[in-house]
Amino acid sequence: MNGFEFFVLYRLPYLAVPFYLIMLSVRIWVWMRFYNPALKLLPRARGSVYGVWKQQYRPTIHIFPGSRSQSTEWKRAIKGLVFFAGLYKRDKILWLGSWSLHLGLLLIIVAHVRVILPPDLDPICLYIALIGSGLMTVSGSYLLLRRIIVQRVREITDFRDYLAEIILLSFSATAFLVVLDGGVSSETLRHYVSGLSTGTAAVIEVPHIFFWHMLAAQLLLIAIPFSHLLHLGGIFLSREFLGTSDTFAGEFGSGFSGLEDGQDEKP
Amino acid sequence: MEKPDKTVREKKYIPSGLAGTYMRRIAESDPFVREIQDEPSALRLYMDTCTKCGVCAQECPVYYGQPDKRMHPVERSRQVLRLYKKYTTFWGRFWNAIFPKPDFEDNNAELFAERMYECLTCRRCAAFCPVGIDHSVISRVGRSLVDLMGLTPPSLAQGTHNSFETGNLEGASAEAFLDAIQFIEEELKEETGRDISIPLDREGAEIFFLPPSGDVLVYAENLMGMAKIFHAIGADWTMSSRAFDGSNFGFTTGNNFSMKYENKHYIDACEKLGCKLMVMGECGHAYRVMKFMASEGRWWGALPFEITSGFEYTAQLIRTGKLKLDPGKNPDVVTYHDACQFAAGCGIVEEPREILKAACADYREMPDGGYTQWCCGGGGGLSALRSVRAFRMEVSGKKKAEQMRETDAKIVSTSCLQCRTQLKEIARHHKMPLKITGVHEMINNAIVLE
Repeated sequence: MNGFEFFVLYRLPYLAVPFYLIMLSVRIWVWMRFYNPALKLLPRARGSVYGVWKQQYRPTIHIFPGSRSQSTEWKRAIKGLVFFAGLYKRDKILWLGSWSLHLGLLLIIVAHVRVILPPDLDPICLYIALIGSGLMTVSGSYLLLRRIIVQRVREITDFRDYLAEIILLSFSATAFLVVLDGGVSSETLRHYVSGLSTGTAAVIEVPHIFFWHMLAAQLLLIAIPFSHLLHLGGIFLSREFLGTSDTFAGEFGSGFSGLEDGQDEKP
Repeated sequence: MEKPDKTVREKKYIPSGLAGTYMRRIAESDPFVREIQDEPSALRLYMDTCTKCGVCAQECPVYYGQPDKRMHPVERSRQVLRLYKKYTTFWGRFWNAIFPKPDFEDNNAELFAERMYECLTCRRCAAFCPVGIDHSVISRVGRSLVDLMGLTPPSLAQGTHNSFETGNLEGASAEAFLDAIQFIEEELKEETGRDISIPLDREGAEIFFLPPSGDVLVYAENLMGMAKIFHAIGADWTMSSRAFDGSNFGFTTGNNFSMKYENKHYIDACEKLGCKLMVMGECGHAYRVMKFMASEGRWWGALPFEITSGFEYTAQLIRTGKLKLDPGKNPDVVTYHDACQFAAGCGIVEEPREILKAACADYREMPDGGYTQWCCGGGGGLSALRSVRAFRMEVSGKKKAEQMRETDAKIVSTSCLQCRTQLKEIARHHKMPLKITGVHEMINNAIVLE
């Protein structure tokens, strides 16, 4: 193991993970300062988080037909958020690529839960990781190709967008290769994670590709707060996240509100 | 694209730093721009959540007409968002301190103004964007800045000024209005043989009717249709000789102050006359502003009258069987173009269709109708700009022209005065033998007075 590999495996996590958490928290804090309709889904009990942000709340006008009961809102939220229903209705190929990518990412994250699971479940977790990383690599490649080939997408893409997607693709491709290479046992992973958490840098025997996977994963954490990949978090706070196939969250444009007191007089 | 008409406007002196001041005010919700205090969140969230997937461009009528980078919704919005970022975010300020860049592309504020008026603000992008980004909101912020710099296209600026000062876009006097009303009453008498009056300034009337001034001064058939409806049901109604223009250019130009006080003219008139119901005519912008800003707790607090659109009012009368219509009077094939501000802005989709189905013998749907309609190409005030006519005919109106050609209709009916103007021009420009009408114009033909 050379110095760079040691740095990536045993030192970079102390920079990348806090950096990611801090930058994401800053972003969330900025978003939270603004009004957003997602808060309407929170219970309206006194002293709740909803209450804290109540001052930001302004009446919402739903301009589209159909019931807007709490249960309907939940259904629409789930349809939009989990199944990307709006995108499905509009562009099925893009939906397939996009939804597979997110599903793949979810499966990869789920597979990592084996750090806290008994070793007997290792084969299942590796299988999940194989499917997840494969899905993500294929769909990520499609999305990157689409970005390069389709004019209307290429026109608005800059260097940072390509870089972010290449890092994402590297992350999934290396994850796939790690699993193909036989994977890393949960025991080794536990050893590695506990070493990192105690600052003892427990040296582990891992395939060389694992180093590249760790490098890609940490670069991804650093890149997310500065790239269009951030919509992973931002979509939860977006005023339009309820936008599904049969509505586009009928907020009135920018939600114009009244002037301040004393500003009401025509000069 | 033709250059905006500059003959009636001198080149403005634009103070350096104006864009920065404006963007910072937006970000800080300064009372100066309190009306648009939600826009910072929209800008910030849109800036952060755009995945650059290009779906908006796929669905944008302007990009459809001219698929190049300049017409891309994301690229247009970027012109505003980069200003917002440059002046209000840490990283924007940081990079600007190291590598300062001009506020506008090529340091050209007029080019920025042109680009803001290349968005039709139709909200079709918002209907299709996976994360619901509404580029019309961003364009409107850009237009606010354009307005502040004095670069609003002259005809729109003049209309806004007229509305603000006189209560109507044309700046027409009460005398001109009275002449027009008298003429319409004579037409009604000649056509029906009945005395169908258009009451003016009648205090205590039940209904206050507010059409756009174009329906009085240019396309009188809509007003005649409405007058016949009121006559048929024996309604107690009135119009105002002071506030007879239900339109709103302040909404279009991004001038929030004007938007509010254009609205105030007819709020005051309705209140003064003591009417119980305000029925608004065929103007999408005015109705959208009225519907949302006149709700309780917004601009004017609790109002002593209800507000509805002419479409909702007439459709209700048809549903309850209070109107007798003879569809045979409109025998030709009729289709309907959804005005963006009524459909995507206010959710009024079914009512105009109900009216047309009841009033016409052969009604057919336009492709992609409803909430996700394609804009006529004159939205966002563009149909009032002669200076961009070539753009409206060949670029922004290209898709609508194709759709109109696809239908077998002889008549295209629409719900907004601006759409009507644009569709007429499209039909003429593309040599389509189509008649463009208002919705209540079809009622005017079909209503049976007993």
